[in-house]
This record gives sequence, structure tokens and C-alpha cells, in this order.
Amino acid sequence: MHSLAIETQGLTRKYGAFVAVDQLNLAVPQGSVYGFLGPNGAGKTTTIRMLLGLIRAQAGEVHLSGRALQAPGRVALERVGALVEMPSLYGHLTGRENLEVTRRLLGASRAQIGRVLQIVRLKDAANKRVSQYSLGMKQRLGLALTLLNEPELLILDEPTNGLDPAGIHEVRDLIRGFPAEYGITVFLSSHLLSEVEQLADTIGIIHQGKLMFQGVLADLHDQRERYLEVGVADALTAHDLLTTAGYSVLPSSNGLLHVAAEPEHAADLNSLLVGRGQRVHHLALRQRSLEDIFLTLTGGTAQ
Amino acid sequence: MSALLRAVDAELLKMKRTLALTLIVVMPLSICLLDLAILLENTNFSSDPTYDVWGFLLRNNIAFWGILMLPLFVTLETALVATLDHNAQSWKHVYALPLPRWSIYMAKQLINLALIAGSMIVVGIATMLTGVFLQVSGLLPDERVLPVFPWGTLIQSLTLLFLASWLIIAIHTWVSLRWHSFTVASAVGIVATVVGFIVVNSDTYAGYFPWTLPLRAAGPLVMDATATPLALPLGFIGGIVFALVACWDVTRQDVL
Repeated sequence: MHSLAIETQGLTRKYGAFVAVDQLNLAVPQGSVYGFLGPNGAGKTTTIRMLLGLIRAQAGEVHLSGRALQAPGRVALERVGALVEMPSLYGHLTGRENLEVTRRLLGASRAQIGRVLQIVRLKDAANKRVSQYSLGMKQRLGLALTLLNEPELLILDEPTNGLDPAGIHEVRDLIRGFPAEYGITVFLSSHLLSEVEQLADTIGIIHQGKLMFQGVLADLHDQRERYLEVGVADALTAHDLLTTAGYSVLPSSNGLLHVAAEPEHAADLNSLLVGRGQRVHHLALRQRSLEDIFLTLTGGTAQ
Repeated sequence: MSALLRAVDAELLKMKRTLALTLIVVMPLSICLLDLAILLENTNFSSDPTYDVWGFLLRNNIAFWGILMLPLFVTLETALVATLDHNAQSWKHVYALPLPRWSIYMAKQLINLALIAGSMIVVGIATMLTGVFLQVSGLLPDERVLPVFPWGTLIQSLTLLFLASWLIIAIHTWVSLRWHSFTVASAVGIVATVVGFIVVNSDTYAGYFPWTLPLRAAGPLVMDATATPLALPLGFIGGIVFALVACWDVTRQDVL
């Protein structure tokens, strides 16, 4: 088996002068849950549509499990399941009939329908018309559609969008189980850091069409710099004093000074300020959150 | 080819419980009922014992169907079939499946052809049943007995009508799949039908206007027989050519 479930090289898509996806090099390891994170409009859905051949890339290549997307017969998509935004369902048909439509298109065995209904826990509602389904049930049925061809790779675009907390919980539970229970690699896009943190072991962060970070989640945690948070009466003077002394003062929004420094410098920093007549009323060691890093990488536009 | 068969098989299931399926019966019946009402109002029918009832029913049903109801029906059916997928936003799902895009488009084209063919069969059966109804209900004056139903003439006319309608079926399939709006599809069909209604008597344009070709091809029962040799290939072969070009056009579009 090829070591990468998804590999793109220089993937690019423009709409006129606007570059939606810019030279994207994705590397999604087999067996991982890859969180594709970015604010709304960052290029996530455009990327996913290019991965599935729904829209053409103007440059670059896509390989799915080592097979070129452009290969004849669309063989690269044979073991790929995809759910792009809301599930594509026919309201006038039952859940089982919706599955049957896709089963017929795939030429899959009839047994697959029972299997996927079992996985998404929709057996009891299978004979109800989809127009009577809740959003959560529709999303689970959408996931069932993606499983009919026993995929090795699932591509899910914002799979919990629009769901209530119970629905989000159900869908997350299902996704979490896919790699271990069924050997499926999951590529999951989201604009929510918390979602990706809960589900993914590997992440890619996209902003304005460019890949800003790609790696295991632990690598991102390693980027969480520590800093000293300092509270003084005259922040402006203290800021000047610290920068003159060679400290790097980070931007902050809470009225306190954030100083890039290790804990052992806390005493020196305190002495410096007090010695210059500054009354320090707050001094604490802090560490940047993942959200801070995400916001920095994405220009502070994430939710 | 197996991909096309699989796609047609899937399309058949999608038709379940749809208005498109119901209309196959309702629209032809409405024409036959209208024609029956006109016949009963016809003074020749009640006073002339030799009046050709079958000729009247066949001529009028095929003429009404061919120039008025068929173009509207094609518009409605193709739009309803396409709307199933537009509303379900299914293009991003089916076009991401490992089967060629052309098979999805061509399955739609074949289903539309089958729906229209089905309606033609209903027109034929309903025409015959109208006569049977007149006979058994005693509405035929002077205890007249209708001669044998002219199946040959009916089948020939409906077959020609159907084959020559391939071009408008192909055009409407394309319009309804290319634009995701029911309004656009309907507007094209309504305008074309109205224009066809006017153009059908034009010596200059009627022979080339897609929406008048079915009626012109239907043979001597309703039109000058000399119109068939041009109208039939234009409608039939034109339909095949248009469907192929339309398939190429739609399947190369980005799915946004």
C-alpha cells in the first residue's frame, strides 16, 4: 500500500485574478485522521473538489493512494468515499432507497446496504422517507453513502456543519472509529480548531489558499511558545524599557504586556522594571494556546 | 457501457413516487378528454351516420399532442427529472463516484426519452379507450358501431412523432441540466411552444423549428406527407447529435 492516502503537488486553482488554492502540497498519511483546518473562504472546499475531480486544477497533480486522479477510468476514486458539505439525498425516497441509488451506480453488492446502515446506526429508520429525517440522521445517512464502496479513504467537508450538539457528537463518534475499526484514512475539513483537535492526529492549516502548516498535532503543540505576562501601571513606559533591554514584547489584547521569555528570566525582568520605578502588580508564566497559533497563522480571522 | 446501465438503473429508482411519473398518464389523458368534449359538441358527429369517429380522434389527439402538449410535456418532464438532482445537490456526490460523467448525463437523456415514449403509448391507448367509451356508454348516436381501431395508422403516426421529438427532448435535457433553475427550463419550453404554435403554418420556418418537427413528421394523418422526409431526420438525427454535444458540454463543467 502506498504510504500516502492523498498527495498533491503544486495544486493550484484561480478564479480570474483570485487565487483560491495556491501551490498546495498535501501529504496525508495512510491510516490517519487528517484535519484540514482553515477559516471560511480559505480554500478548503475548492481543494476538496479538486481532490475529487469535481473541479479542474489549473496546475498541479493529485494522487490518491498512489494513483493519479487523472488516470483513465477514474480508478483513483474506486476506494474513495466523499461527503462534500451537506449530504446529497433524495427526500422522496427512503433512507434505504437512497443507499440503493448509489449502490446501483457503484455496482456494489446488496449486502453493503445492511452493513453501512449498521455502521451509522440507521437500521430502524431505513424505511422512512428522508424528508422526515432530522439533520443528524441525514448526515449519518450521508456518511453511509460514502461507505458503500468499502473506502480506504474518506473525504469529509465540514461534516458537522449545521448539526445540533447531539448530532455533532454522533458524527464525531462515527468518524473517530473509522481508522481503527475499518482501516479508513479520514481527510476532514473544518473551520473549527476544537473539532480538528478532538478528531485529528495530523493537521494541515490553509489560509488564503496557501498551506501554512502541515504535520502531526504534537508538532503544533511544540510551537506553543511560553511567555511572561506582566501587569504594570504604565504599560507604555514599561514596554519601552523592556524593548530597550532586548526583550521581545508580543502583541496582546488584554492590557497586559506579553514578553517572550523563559521562566528563569522572570526575576530579572521584575528587577528591571521595579528598579526603573515601575510598580509590577501582575507577573505570570503563560503558554500560547493552539488557538493563538492558529489565529497567527490565519491572520486572526478564524472562529 | 456497464456504467451507463448502472446509471440508468439508478435513475429508474429515483423516479419512484415522482410527479414526473404521474404526468405520463395525466397529460395524455387531459388531451383525450378535451378531444372527447370537442367531438360530442360536433354536429356532424351526431347527424352524419358515416362520420369517421376514429379519424377524428386520431387526427385531433395527435395534432393537439404534437404541437401543444408534447413540447410542454417535454419541458415539464425534463425539468422535473433534473430538479430531483438539483434539489438534492447530488452532482457533487455522483460526479465524485468512480464512473464516467458521460454515463450520468446519458442516463438522464435515456430516462427522458423513456418517459416521453411512455406518454406516447398512453396517448395511443387513451385514444382507443375513448372510442370504446363512446361505444359502451351509448354516446354514439343511432346505435352505430365503430369499425376496427386503426392501430397501424396510430402506431405509425406516434412512432414518427416520437422519433422526431428527440431533438426537443435533447435540447430540454441540456437546458434543465445545464441551468439549475426550474424557471429557466420552463421559460425556454413555454416560449418555444408558443413560437412553435405560430410558426407551424409557416412555409419558410416550420420545417426547421425543432418544436414543430414532431408534428410535421407525424405523417399524412395530421400534416402534408411531404413534410416527413425532412422533419424526421432533422428531429431524430438532430436529437442524437445534440445530445452528444450537450453531454460533452455539461460533463466538462466544474461542479461548484
